[in-house]
Amino acid sequence: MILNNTIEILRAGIYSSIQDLRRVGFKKYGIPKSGPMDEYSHILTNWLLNKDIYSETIEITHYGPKIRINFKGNIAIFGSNCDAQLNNKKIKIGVSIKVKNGDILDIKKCIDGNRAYLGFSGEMKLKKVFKSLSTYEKIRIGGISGTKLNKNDTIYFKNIKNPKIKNIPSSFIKRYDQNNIIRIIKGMHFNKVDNEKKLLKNDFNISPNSDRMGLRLTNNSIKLNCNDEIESTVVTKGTIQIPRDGNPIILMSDSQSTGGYPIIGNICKADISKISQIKPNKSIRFKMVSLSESNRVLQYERKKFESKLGIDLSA
Amino acid sequence: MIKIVPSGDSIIIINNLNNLKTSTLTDYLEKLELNEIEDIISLKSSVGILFNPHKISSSDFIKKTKNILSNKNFTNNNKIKTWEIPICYDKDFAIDLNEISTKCKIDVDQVIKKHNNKTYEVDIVGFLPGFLYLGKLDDSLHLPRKNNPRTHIPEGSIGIAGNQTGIYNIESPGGWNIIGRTPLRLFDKLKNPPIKIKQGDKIIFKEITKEEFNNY
Repeated sequence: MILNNTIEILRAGIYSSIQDLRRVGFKKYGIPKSGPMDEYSHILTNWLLNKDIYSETIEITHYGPKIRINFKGNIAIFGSNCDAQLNNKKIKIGVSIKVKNGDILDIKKCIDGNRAYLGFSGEMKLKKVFKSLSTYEKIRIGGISGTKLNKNDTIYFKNIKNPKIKNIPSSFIKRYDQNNIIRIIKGMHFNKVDNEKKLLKNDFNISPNSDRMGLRLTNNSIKLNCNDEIESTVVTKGTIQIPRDGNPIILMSDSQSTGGYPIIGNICKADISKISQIKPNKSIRFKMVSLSESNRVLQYERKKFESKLGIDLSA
Repeated sequence: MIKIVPSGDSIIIINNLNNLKTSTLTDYLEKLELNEIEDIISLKSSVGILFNPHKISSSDFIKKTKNILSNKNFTNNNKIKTWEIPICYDKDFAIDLNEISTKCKIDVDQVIKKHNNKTYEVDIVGFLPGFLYLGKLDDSLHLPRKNNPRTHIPEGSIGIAGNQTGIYNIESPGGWNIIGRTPLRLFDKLKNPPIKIKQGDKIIFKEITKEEFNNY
C-alpha cells in the first residue's frame, strides 16, 4: 500500500540520519547538541527549499539511501558532490528539483566529501525529544525511533509546498578534495604542547575510525610536556583533545559535555563544516589564527549569507 | 576576583569563584535567559557557557558577563536534597571488585564498607547523559581509570576512578572500575528534566542483596 505524503526508505545507505540544526539547553544533563556534522551544507539545503536554518534534513554518510517519494513537491541535495539519480536519470546537487508521486531517488556514493544533506519541501511529522528532531542513537532519541534510517522506514510529511526552483550561487560551492588547511585557535592547555612546529607544520590523517562523536587524527602524534591529570572542563564541537597516545581527537556533533584530556586548541567555527567533509585517510594541516581573526571570518560569513541569500545565521 | 576566559570562539569559562558555588552561579545565569546562551555546564570549580558566536563575539560576551557579575552579591542556595541510592555489591554486578581489592590491598568487605560508609556530593552531572560524578571517595580507594576502557557497561553500574565514584545511568563504554550496580533508573529520556538529581545534592548508598536487586 502506498501512503500519500510520505517517503519510503528502500535502502538506508551506510549511515543516514535525521538531523535538525542542533539541540539547545540539554547539555547540562550530558545530552549532546547533535545536529548535522556539516552545518553549512545543511543550512544551504534548507535554503534551496525555502526552509529556515533550523529545519530537518537527512544526513547521508559516504553512500546514500534509495527512496520512493509519495508526494508532489521539491527535494534538494547539497554538501559533498554525490552520484544521485531520480528515476535512473542523473540529477545535480545544489539545486532544488521537482518530484512527483512514485519517483525513485537513488543517492549513491559521496564523491569529494563524506556527507550530503537531503531536504524536502515539507515538514517531517515526527515528535521532537528535548526540543529537537536530531538523531542520537546512544539514548535512542530523535529521528523516527531514535535510530539511523532503516530499510522499510516510512516518514510522513505535512505542509508540503511547491516553491520555485533555486540554485546555490557558485560562490557558496566548496570542493573538499583540494585545500586541506583547517584554522584553529589556541586552547587552554596549548602551553603543554612539546613541539609547536610539529603541530603546525606536519600533516595529520583523518582516521577511518571517526564518527559523529569525534574525528580521530593519526600520523602526527602530539607529545605533551606534562601528563598531570587535569580537572574536567567543558568541551564542544571543534574542541581538539590530546589523549595519552598523542593522537588528537576533534569532538564533533555528538560530543560529550565535559572532557578530562588536555585541550590544545579549538577549530574555528567557520572551518568545522569543512573538516567534517575531509575523507578518511586524507590529510589536513592546522593553521593557528587569533580569536579575533576567527571572529572576523565568522562575521564575513554572516554578512555573505545575509546579503546574497537573505539567511540570518544569528537567528 | 572572578576570571572569565574564552575557549575557542564559542565557549567562555568562568573561573576563580572562591566561595561561590558553581551551582549557585549556574542557577543565576540560567534565570537571566540570555538570548546568546545555548548551554551552561556547571563543573566542579568553574562554569562553562556555550554561546552562539553569530549573536555576539566572545570578547563582547566576556565583557557583558563581567558586567552582569560585577558587584553582585550571591548567597549560596541551600536547596540541597539527599538521595538514598540502593547499591548491590554482588560480584555479578561489581565486575572489578576483586581487582579493586587487590590493587588497593584491602579486603573485599572493607572495600565495600569504605565505599558505602560515606555521604557523597554530586560534583558534576554530565559527560554522558545522566552520568553522575560523586566526591569524595575514601583515600584508600583511589585508583586510575582502566587502561583499556570497556566497550559496554550496563546501565546503573557504579564505578570508582581517582577521588570520585560515579553512576552510569545509561549503558555506554567506559573506563571506571566497576564496584556495584543500582537497580534504580535515574535517567528518563521521556521526562524533562531527564534526571532529578542535581549538582551539589548529597548521595547515600544503601547496600542491598542480589535478591533485593532482582526484586526491585
